[in-house]
Amino acid sequence: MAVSRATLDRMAQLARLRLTAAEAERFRGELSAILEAFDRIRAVPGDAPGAAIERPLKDLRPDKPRQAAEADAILADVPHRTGRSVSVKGGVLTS
Amino acid sequence: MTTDLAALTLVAAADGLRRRVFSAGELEAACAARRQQADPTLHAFLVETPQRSTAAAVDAALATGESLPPLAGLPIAIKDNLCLTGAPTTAGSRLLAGYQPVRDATVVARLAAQRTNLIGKTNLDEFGMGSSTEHSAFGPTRNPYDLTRVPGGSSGGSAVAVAAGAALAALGTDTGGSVRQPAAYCGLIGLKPTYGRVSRSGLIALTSSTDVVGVLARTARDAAVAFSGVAGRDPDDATSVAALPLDVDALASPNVRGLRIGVIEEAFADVAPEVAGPVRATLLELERLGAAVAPCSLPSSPAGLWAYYVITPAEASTNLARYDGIRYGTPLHEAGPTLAARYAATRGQSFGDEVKRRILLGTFALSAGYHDRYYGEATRVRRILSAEYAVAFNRFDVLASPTTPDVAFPLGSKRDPLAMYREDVNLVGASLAGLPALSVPCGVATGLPVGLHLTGPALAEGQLLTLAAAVETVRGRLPLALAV
Repeated sequence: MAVSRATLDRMAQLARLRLTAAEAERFRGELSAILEAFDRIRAVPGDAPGAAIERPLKDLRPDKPRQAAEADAILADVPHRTGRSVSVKGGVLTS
Repeated sequence: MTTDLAALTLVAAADGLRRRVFSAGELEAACAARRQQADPTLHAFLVETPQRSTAAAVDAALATGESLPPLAGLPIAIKDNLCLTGAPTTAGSRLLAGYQPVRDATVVARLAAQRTNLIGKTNLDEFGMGSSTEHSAFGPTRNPYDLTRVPGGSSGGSAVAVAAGAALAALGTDTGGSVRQPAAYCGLIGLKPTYGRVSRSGLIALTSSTDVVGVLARTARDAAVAFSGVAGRDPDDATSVAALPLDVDALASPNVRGLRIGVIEEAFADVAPEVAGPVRATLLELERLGAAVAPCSLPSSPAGLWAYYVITPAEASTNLARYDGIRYGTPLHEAGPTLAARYAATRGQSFGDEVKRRILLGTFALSAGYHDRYYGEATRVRRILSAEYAVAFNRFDVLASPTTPDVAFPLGSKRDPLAMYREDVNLVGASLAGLPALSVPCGVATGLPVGLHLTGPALAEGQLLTLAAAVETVRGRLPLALAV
């Protein structure tokens, strides 16, 4: 895949790399050749194992919070609690 | 006597110390003499660490009859991307020149706890990016068997230190072959353990999903001893795992009868005949010892090379984002008043070409519009290849191939990045799948070492080392490069 100078410059900006003009042109050519080699991976057939196992979106429940039926049983095992809340040691940031 | 001590295996040196045949001080001096003689030419070491010497303490302990751990007093070198306090840790980069770690890497701390003699930090391709140790900001390392050739990389310094007698063993790191390939080029055992078997805490990260601390040693038993000294679960590394210890003593009489070895057909595609010859001859010898050898196919392994070279720059571009001249390194204030300008200028001036190239590639592969085409596809191929390995291990106990397509290449001969990347074609599959693998010397071609590559299922280091020990019984050991 041919990489344009504008694309190379944009990638360098994202990567926080200041390149000289000569470097930019050299890397542009090298990346073009390397990306062409990378395209060979698309020729590998098949899906990744497990990719066919998808949960249809229509099976999802409505996105509304609800009280879990097991809440009391779960809270019974919590070592420190305040009402229906779990108490944890606070992380303290001191100035 | 001095050269003889520097040529000992770890096992023989440990035995000699305990029987008081020689002292830890004499052992240290022998390796130091080799370093002084050879390293001005070879450049395996970046810094020596006499402040971490344990020779005097070990000799004092032995004099009182104290029982010591297996690695006590043994001179071992450490690749310079593993943090070691008391000395700079540079990862072979100008950006980290002078960086002083605040704590030891876990593997270093484990060796120190055993009073191992940590003699120095070894040269590497910058941040582990490379297959020749030519990409170090501090100059290349040379192959002790042919000074005009590379030792391999990125753990080239560690390999040369052991092969040239300047250390009895060394720690390296293997992301896509960086322990195994220099081991092959320098006539050593190079073990890449299962991902997670050795803690990565304190390892300067390159590719977090494939980085593994490995061992370079002179024999399979030495590799087993050194590996056992650093392996194990670490609370500071959530990806580390516990596993049963190795039976090191069993390697003295390796039994491979009934072991099923699959020879990866695709791995011979671009291999030089002078390399394929010793590999196939060794497999025949293993058959005579009772192993069952048969062909095996990993159809996606050629594409695995390119999947690896998408994934590793992608992860590296993230891991190296922290090196901005503020948190690490020194900012170039003259670059301008903004942080962005200083970051870019510092990184642009301090990183070498290969590092910049991979950061750009990784940034590209993860960027909007290209993520699915490159990174998404690479992870798909990674999972397909991992599944192919799993299927292969239903039929075979170990998979075999040549470690490298050819013997060590001349310094400066692979300017084209793609040519350099192709060196790793037989190595990256085990890295992508997180599997243990090693290279064992199996012969010589045009005067240079040739390596046989063995891959096993997860946590099968013992099986691999048993097979490597068997290879040693039929092929012998290559003499160390002590003429330099």
